[in-house]
Amino acid sequence: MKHIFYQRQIIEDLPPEAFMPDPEAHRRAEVISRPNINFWSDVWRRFRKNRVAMTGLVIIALLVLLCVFGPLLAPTSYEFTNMKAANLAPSGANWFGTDKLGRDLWARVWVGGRISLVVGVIGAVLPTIFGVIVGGVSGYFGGKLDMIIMRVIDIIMCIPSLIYIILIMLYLGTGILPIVLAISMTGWMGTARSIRALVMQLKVREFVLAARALGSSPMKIILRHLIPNCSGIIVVSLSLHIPSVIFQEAYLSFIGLGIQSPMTSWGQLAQIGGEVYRNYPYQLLIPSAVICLVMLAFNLFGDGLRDSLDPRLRD
Amino acid sequence: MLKYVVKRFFISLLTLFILATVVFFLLHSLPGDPISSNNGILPKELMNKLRAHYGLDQPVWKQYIQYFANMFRGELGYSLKHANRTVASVIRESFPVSASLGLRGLALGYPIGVLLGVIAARRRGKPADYICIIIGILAISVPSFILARILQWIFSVKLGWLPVAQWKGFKYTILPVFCMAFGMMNGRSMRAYMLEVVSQDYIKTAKAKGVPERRRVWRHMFRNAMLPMVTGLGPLVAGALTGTFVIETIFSIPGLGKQYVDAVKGLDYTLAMGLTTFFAAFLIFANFMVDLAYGLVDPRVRIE
Amino acid sequence: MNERLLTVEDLRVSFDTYAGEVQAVRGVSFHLDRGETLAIVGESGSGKSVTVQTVMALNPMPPARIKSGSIVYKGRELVGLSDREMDAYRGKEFAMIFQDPMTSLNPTMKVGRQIAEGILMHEDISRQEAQERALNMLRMVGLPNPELNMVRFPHTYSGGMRQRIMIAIALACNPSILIADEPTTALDVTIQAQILELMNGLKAELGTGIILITHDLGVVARMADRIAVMYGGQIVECGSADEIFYDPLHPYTWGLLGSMPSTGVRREGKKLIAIPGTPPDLFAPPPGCAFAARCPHCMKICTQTPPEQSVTESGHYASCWLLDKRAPQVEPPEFDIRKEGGRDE
Repeated sequence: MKHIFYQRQIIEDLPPEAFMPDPEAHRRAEVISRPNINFWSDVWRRFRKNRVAMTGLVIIALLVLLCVFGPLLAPTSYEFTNMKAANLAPSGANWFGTDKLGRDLWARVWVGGRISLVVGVIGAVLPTIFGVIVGGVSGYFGGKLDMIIMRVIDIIMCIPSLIYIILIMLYLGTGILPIVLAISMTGWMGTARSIRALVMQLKVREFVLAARALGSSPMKIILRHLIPNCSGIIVVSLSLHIPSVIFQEAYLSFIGLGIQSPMTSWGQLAQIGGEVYRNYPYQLLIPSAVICLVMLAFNLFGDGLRDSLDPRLRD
Repeated sequence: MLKYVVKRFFISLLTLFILATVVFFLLHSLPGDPISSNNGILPKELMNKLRAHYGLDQPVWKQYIQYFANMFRGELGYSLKHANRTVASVIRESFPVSASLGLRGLALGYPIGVLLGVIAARRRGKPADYICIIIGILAISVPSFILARILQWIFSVKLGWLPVAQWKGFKYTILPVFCMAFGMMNGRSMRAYMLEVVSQDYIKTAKAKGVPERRRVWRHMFRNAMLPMVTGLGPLVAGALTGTFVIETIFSIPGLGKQYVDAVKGLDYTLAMGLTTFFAAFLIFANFMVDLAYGLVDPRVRIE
Repeated sequence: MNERLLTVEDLRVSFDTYAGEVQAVRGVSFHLDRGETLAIVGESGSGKSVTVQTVMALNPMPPARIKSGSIVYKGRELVGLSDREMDAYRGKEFAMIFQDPMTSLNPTMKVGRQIAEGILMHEDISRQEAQERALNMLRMVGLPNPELNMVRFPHTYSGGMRQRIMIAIALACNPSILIADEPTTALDVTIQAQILELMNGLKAELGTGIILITHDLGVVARMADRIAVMYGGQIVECGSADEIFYDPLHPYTWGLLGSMPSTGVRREGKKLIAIPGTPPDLFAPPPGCAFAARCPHCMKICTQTPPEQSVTESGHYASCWLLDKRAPQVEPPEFDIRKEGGRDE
């Protein structure tokens, strides 16, 4: 069938070569036009654009630097007492003032920060690792094992974790190690639950079936396929766990079960400040402000990280 | 349905039993006993007499059996520290205090949190969204014991408007209730659920039939976004009703949380045990109620 | 019966994403008359869904953005109307059913209410009357026991039943245009036929104009009066169903027809012809013809200059350099097409 065509606009001055076949066109199209972006660098790119989250990261970095180098700038060491200089308000010599024993609070805040941050990080990393393993095993193998693990978690979660922490602390005594242990023992259930749920979703996905069909061992599937796919959630839960551990440590110190003097922590400083806040409010306000700042920074950071990992929640 | 309830009931009982056992042995493995803190104050014979009176001279396993035998009869025993007070009476006295504090905090904070989440999701990426998120992050970032202290400093010490502590009337409740509520003003999970619902096909269906935005948000998105929120409500309600350790301690409110901290620190075995069991029973009950409530809001799990 | 309902002229829609602008629709024009079925066919990502969702103003803006063009419905321009003003059109003047009936009903609302809600939005009647109308709609789409079904929740239905409910929701206000975005893709084959029959029956009864989006030429053959073939965000060929099936002009249309089992292989020994390659990246659309890179007849000019539109005397048009009088003559491959029965005329 032949048609008579009407063209709306005709480009007249075309050379005849223009209508020669162009077999090369296919190959040229094979060149990938968009750069291939690796998952974590993509996350980092999105994260960098998130100003709020970057602020969190910068604050964390600053606080860490202050904790490392801050005490060097203090006039005296954190445990040096001087009853003549007790309860001094912040000044040029003692930037944060002194406490009731005349100890320099600038030094104490940053030394205490070392303890709080170390407790926070270790107290978040240990239970996260444990929770990932338990959740991964429970979710992957399922069945009876899964049921038992989940019932155990149900039972443990029946009681506010602070109760356990108090009991364990009473048993183990005070000090950094008991605090970290007590907090770790009670902080893994949430992670275990969410990892289990995720693994249960992932394990029926095609790529896992493919790995299984190719004869990979369960351990290898968990390590090579499932956990990397959970890494986003793990990192986020870790970064959001740290502030809650810092809070728990602070609370323990607050009720007198935490770090013992002359060693200190942010929670202990806030607690001591809380005893004298009527007369010396700066002793409460400074450690409080630092605690709030670090909690805020970690929460902003973790939140931003979650958004970067899950583009659906972003625009 | 009945079968499900019965099954849940037995699992709950088993959970309670295991929990009580664990706590029992944990408490008894602590060094010392409640009487020994009177060392040097009371004569040796009297202390031994007291030990015999409370059964503390028996081997641990006998105490264990005795404890459960008593519990089976509905007796939680006597507090070891407060002379002549039953554990039940301590709970009877402090639970209403905790519950009233918790319920007020919940009633004030939770709706605000949900509302902030809805607003944030609707105004996504706009200033209102950021304000809601910042309030939410502040709510979880400012530890309650710091918020409480600072509020005490401002409103009680500096301004003198409100009492510092105690629990003796409405004026006394304002600061602790606000402290509790503030921690719940976190709309971020509601925001996330709303944003998940927003991209669902049925919201597009609603839009395609000409349902205006306000109605889409409240009639279609809100209810579906609340479904996952309800799951988290159980522990929240239980936690709120059974008191918060921190706020009760700071404001010297004679609630369950404060009693518990005192009991554990004073090695008051029976009181600590009784309170632990009560906490657990309450939480299990709350979770059970939430499961039932879930059926009311989500027709998919309703049993027909 | 030739009342013009909808005219879309040179519509361009882009999505602003973090990686840049995605030009999803790049100058699309079509029209729809009363009681007519226009099928828009093309592979995934060709911009067909975006086009119709723009007509309904269903795309969230931002990220979506109408760059230019006009959408005229019964003489009124729709581009530039606010979301609130569009609410008066959505559901009343045009309605839509979606691909996946499993997810397009609100799980927490009773079926009856979901149908009645749309009616209440547009008509000033009591809740009671709206429920009455909803019941009639359920009857019309052929749900057994409509009274009982009014108070059930969507999760108790199968996919086919839910799609019937979707159709009831869509047609509740007797809209002039029904947009069906792959309405049968997610359904079993036997259910597909029922749903298509239902749509054809209702079209004949109510005189609704239908825009049908699909990539299934079998469905097109049953339903369409006219067909628009979309590729890379543009309509590359548009004509009556007969013209497209029996006299396709564009190499992409040839590819489509050749790769469809229902049209491509009838006889023993005749192979399905796959179209090699992948659709163009709409982040950076090619300067010439979008199909050039996959076209077996690609010429030098195809990759450099967009082709002109060539129109036949009957209005059947295609955009392809092969139709230029200076181009070498290329015969379309032979298709053995036998229209399936059941098309209601």
